[in-house]
Amino acid sequence: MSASPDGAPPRGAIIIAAIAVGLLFLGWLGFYFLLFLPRGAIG
Amino acid sequence: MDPEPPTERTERRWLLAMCLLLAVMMAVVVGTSLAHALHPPSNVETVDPLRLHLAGEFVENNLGAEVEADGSVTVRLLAQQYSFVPNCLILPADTPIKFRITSPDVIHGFLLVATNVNTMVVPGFVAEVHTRFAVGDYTMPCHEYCGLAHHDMWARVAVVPKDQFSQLGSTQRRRCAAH
Repeated sequence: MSASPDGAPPRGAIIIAAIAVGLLFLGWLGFYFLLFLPRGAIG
Repeated sequence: MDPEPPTERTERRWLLAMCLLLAVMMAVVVGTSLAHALHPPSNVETVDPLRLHLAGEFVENNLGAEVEADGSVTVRLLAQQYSFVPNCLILPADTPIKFRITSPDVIHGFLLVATNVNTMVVPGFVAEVHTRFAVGDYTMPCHEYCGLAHHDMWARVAVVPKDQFSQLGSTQRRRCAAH
């Protein structure tokens, strides 16, 4: 990762990465709680 | 010593955030698994695949659903090229069900569509799965390629209300068309 000339962190890249990871995490939660668990417990 | 560049600080924070995210996901999986007694089928029990039809638990007249003294139901199945025996089951809803399955020939797959029941059936071993169902019809295809007619190997499970199930005799429980 390269910093801007004034040494500030790349905020745009951080925001885009955070949004992408957040959407993936929400998708995982949705699959787990709305699809996997309602299909019933096994053991 | 040079001060820490801002990019390294950013990367360290990002790494920490991802570790926290993984910890949350792991906590969710472990917590719900404990709360729902959820775990992969892991029975290890051997059986002689050459003598299944001669004696023991998997002789023909012992296959199908059997009600235990505690009210739970045990289902014994054979997975063989290219059918499940019996190929049709009627089971009660909201009742603990234990499937015990084995194979006399090759590896098969045991899957109940729209549920989490899913295991391999390996000759020489008894696969055991514990679950319970809601009312409905479920298909049970073999999902492990087992030969030329693998695509024709599937069975059906009809889950009916408990009181309806208790009125059925053991022979009727094998005839899905009767319910």
